[in-house]
Amino acid sequence: MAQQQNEHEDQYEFDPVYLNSLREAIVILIIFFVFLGYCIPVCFYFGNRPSGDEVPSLFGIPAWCFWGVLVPWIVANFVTAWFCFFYMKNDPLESDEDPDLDQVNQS
Amino acid sequence: MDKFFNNSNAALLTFAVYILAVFLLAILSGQFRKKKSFLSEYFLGSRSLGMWAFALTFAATASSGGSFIGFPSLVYTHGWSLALWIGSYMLVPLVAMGLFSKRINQFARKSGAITVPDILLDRFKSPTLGLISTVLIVFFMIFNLIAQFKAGSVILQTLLSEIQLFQNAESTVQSTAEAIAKNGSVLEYFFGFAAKLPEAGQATGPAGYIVCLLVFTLTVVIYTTYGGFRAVVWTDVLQGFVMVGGIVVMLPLAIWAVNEQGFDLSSQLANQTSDLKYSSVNSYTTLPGPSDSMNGFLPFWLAVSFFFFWTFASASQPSNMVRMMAFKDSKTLSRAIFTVSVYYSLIYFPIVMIFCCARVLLPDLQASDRVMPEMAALLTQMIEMPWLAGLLVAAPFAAVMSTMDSFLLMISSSIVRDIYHKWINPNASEKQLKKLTYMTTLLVGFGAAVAAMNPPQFLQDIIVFTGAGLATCFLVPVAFALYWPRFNRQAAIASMVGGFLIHVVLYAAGWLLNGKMGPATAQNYRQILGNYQDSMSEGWYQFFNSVIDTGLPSLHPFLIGTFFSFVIAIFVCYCTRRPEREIVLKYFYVKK
Repeated sequence: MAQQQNEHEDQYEFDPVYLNSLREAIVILIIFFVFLGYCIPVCFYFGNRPSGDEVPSLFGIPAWCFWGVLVPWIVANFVTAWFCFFYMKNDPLESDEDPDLDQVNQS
Repeated sequence: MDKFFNNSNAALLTFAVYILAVFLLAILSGQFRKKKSFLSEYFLGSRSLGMWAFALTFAATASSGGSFIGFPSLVYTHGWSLALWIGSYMLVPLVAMGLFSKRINQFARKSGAITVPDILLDRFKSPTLGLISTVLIVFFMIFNLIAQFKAGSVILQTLLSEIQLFQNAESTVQSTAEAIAKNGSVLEYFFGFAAKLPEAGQATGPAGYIVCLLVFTLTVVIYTTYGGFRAVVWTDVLQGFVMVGGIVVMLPLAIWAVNEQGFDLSSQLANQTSDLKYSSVNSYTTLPGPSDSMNGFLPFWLAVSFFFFWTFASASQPSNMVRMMAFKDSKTLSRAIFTVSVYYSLIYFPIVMIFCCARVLLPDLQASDRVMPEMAALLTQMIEMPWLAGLLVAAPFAAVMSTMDSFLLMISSSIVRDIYHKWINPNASEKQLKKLTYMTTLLVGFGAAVAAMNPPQFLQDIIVFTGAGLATCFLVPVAFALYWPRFNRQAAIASMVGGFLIHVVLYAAGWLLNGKMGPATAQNYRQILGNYQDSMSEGWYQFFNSVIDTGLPSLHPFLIGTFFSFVIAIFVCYCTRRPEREIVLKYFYVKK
């Protein structure tokens, strides 16, 4: 059994599509938490004020909304463009089924 | 408004052109299918979606009636703080499409899967898991389908209310319903509703709703049944353009109209709309709701909850996962993610701006759910282009249609492919499956319409309940199935069932304690704690009280359910055997 396991390990390596997807998923999670860590504190720090206070504004939008939502939204589009066109790998997605795997399935 | 709709033939004509275009696309896609294998083409479009089709079907399916009816209503009611509530849409394309798409597509190709349960069944070699996931999809989707039917019919009522033909149909339905309801049979449940008179101040009554439900059902069910997945995708593309077109036209008009009213846009609009007091008119945000807030701003944990909810719940909706199986190649995926990112930027933040303007332009609107058609009427009236209102009203209608047709097909594929073909008759011929598929799609569509005849009261609550429920059940099992070779079938079943139970328990507790659809709130937890104060030590009482004070129990049930689903998955996985070697080799390795 152990010998059979070693044989498989010698014959196979991690699927590059799996490794690339995993790397991309980790980068996506990091981006998500960076934006979460920016947007919520900025909006709460500048926007959560007592009722009746004057609201500072930029271009007709409350300043907290401008800096805490609109600006990061624009930045998110650039980050998404970087991720899609410069970071994400163009992996082949066709089935990699090979006859040896069928033998493994039967064994 | 009335004056506008008295002259609404132009608007109706624009709308009719849109509906005709939808049918034309369905017919074309039906022709396309004749040359292909039925099941793969009908439910997955032969895995050949290009960039525009994939991007817009994903975007349009995710944008339901909530985006164009419920969300504008919330913005009108609560003001700018809704920009933060919806803010994580800036990352939805990246997270929802980037996190799982490539792996799901690869899994589907390796296993020949055409549904989500197909993938899970093959990844874990567990018919039980396949069946559980099918049942959960059907359970949640049917609820959602009924809610979408109602939303579509309500929008149609706005457009047709002043048309003579519609008014005649309305009175015929009302008199027929009165006659049937008088007999006191079981049909009274449905027809008793239709026999009621319109409420004061409303243009159409329940009978009008039934007429619109019938028109809406015939439209959507017929084109979905005939055209299948490709029709749904092609019409989604059209609907996607209609939605963004409507918003892009409305934004400059709304800003111009506010200026015409003499507002200094640089400061007055911000002040007028930034500090609106929350009211209880809409419970969509009470998970926990903004009504907990003292100064009109979002409660902190609500903002955090929804930042997670929009992104990760979108990633784990089975209807979105089906689309992830259908794109052509990786290049299509990367281009589509960017396209949807720009698309959502053109929709969601502009909606916040438009309906903050609506607060200035229509300050005394009582029924905030009608703010979208009211704004469409007002703006097109101001520029004297009534035909444009047809396009603007078509935008929310398109949003409902594009979501509903996808859900309809999803339920149909679950019944035909995941239940009948796998469990009842694995040797069914293509002809039998084709016949059954058409019948199932028709039956589910008309069945949901019958259920919507006496419409559910809590429309948005149902949409949130089902969306969060599916996400809680599927996010952790699917994520681990795709990325963790050690993940096994026992852990997948436990995390899926665990997530489902926690979600349902939180909602059931909310229902029992508050008498309405929604999860238990911090106040409920405090009441429960108060009841048990005598039977616990002061230390424990203080501890639980301080936990409630942090606001953590008020997190969205999606986050609580997902957290427990995650813990259960890891615990059960390490307590049980590793998965079979051949499964791990198939999905995580290639030959050197």
